[in-house]
Amino acid sequence: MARIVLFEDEEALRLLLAEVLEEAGHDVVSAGDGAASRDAGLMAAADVLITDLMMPGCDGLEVIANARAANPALRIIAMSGGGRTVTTDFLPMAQELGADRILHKPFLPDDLAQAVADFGG
Amino acid sequence: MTLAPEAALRARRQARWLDGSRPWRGYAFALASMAAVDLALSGLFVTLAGRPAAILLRLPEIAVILLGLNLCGGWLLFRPVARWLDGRGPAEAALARLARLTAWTGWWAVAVAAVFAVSSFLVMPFAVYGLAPTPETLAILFARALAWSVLLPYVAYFLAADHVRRLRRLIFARHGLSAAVGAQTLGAKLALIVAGGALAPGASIAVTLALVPPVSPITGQPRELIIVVTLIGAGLALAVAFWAMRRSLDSSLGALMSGMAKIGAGGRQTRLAVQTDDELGRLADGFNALAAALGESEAQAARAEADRARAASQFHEAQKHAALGRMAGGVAHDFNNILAIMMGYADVARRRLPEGDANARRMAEIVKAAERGKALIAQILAFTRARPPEHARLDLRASVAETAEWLQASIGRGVALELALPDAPLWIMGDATGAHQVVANLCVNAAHAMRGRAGAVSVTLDSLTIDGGRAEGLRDKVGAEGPAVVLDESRADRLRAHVGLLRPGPHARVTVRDAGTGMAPEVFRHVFDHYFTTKPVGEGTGLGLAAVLGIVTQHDGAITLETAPGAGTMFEIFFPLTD
Repeated sequence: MARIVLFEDEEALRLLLAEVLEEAGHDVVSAGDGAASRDAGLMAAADVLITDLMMPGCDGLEVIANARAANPALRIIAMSGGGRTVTTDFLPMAQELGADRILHKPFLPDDLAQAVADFGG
Repeated sequence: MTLAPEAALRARRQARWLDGSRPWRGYAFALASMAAVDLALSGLFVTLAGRPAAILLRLPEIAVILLGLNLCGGWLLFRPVARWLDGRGPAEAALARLARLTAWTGWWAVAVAAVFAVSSFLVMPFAVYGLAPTPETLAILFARALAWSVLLPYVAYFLAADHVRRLRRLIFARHGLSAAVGAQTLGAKLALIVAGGALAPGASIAVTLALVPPVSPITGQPRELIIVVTLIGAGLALAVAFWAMRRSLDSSLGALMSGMAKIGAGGRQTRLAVQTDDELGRLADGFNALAAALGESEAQAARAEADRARAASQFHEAQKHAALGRMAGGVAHDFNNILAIMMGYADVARRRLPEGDANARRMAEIVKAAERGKALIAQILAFTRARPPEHARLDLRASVAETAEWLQASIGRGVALELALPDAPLWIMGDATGAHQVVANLCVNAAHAMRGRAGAVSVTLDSLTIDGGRAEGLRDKVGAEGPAVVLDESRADRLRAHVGLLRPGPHARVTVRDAGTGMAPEVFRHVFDHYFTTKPVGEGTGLGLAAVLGIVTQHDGAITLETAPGAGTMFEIFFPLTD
């Protein structure tokens, strides 16, 4: 069982992913934007962070930077459906910043659950 | 075409005039004028002297010298022009002769008149008619010879000049050809008019007054008769010379002025006939050079303008492409989110269904459809990617082998793939993904075309040297602009298309050949168009060959395609080899 923080602005997807992860036995905290990543306590208490990269307000790259600063041991999974423009595909950048796994949307919820399971949490 | 009656008449007259032997006839008339003038003046003289029958004594000389000898020489002079107009001789010879014809005709007429004068005023009177050579008779005959030997060629020269001028103008109108400009001058011609038409008759009259007794010892007539006839001859000759000069000036200067008006009105193609061998002809020639220079400089400006317009349009095209890329990126992001929701919910719902529930299969179809949507978006993104992929040294042999292995796994069932690779690596400057996409797209298409048929898709990689000849041939087909698609439908059983320019040098060639259904002409014509597909919805996006075209063009490569309905399709892709 892992403590998971999930940021995803698409509500239907967020609910689905949270449901699947909880079903797999994880403890999930979720939000529609990445503002909560500034809460160092929340970040320090989590095992896994799952974040979309394109979100209103606080975007995924900032989320990753915040999380990495608050909790170096945190396992991070970045998700994206491609940048707003073709040339700004953030996934490689996210990896550079410290995401452990990247997932290209669309993916099956099981793939996400599997990625979390792969961390051994 | 209808012409105004007057213009039609003129055109018909000109056509008839240039037809067959007529140009020669006009020239012959000009030379024959020497006989006519002599006949008229001598006839007038003997009539005034009261012995009209005496003219008969003159006729043999007129016939032999002024007609026979004169026209024989004239024919030789005119022959190159006549032969060309009859379609038998070279144009160069005709034009070279035309350039000198007026001057040479003048000298020939002078020579004939000299022979005639010697005969008429020296040989015949003393040798044949037994006239006694006294100072008086010699003076009379010398005065006559002086007037005759000048006036006869003088008239013939100006008539011939007018004829040759019209001939030059008509040959220019008919054939667009001009004889070379001549070196004569208007000043010399004016001097000739005055010298021949006034000074020579004046000298003749002066000799008559000074040396001939008041009553002619030969004819018994008063010497005033000789003077009157000489004056009439001089008047006639001057009239002919002025007439010819006026026509020449009118025609040349009129053409020059209307030509300038046409140039001013934008008719840069206006060219004038070089009608004469003097300054008027050189003026027309200068006008033509000026008009040509003007036209060339305007054409140059137009070309520069077209280049600018093309550059601007290319810039706009690139901007459009970039905008399309941005839009595609945005759409792709939103679509991927939507697909993720569809795919995710359908998959979760499917797994919650009891074993064997029919809805499980239906849910699985939703997931599959979403997967296809994902593939389509990936392809659109690949196609609209704004930044060209990085090119590096790439072993095409390894790349094709890898792609073939991948293809065997994904399409191999049912369709066999025959692979032929060279013994050594083939290095190109390229990007591995692009090369993979090219070969994979062509093979997938070939496999589709082969469905339900026996045989294999063959993929051959080899190298060849494109020589200048073949590259030039393709350049002719493709044009200098670049990778336009050139379709060759000259043979229905072998439709061919060429894309891209080949430079001479060593190339790698990937040949993908199938014995499948081939392409119908209407499919063939759109084969490289974006979003054109013959595959059922869901199987193809219509971006495959458009992507192949884009990638090959980025590699400075070229494509040739050969297909025939029912007989299969062959694609050849050329990539320039690197060291």
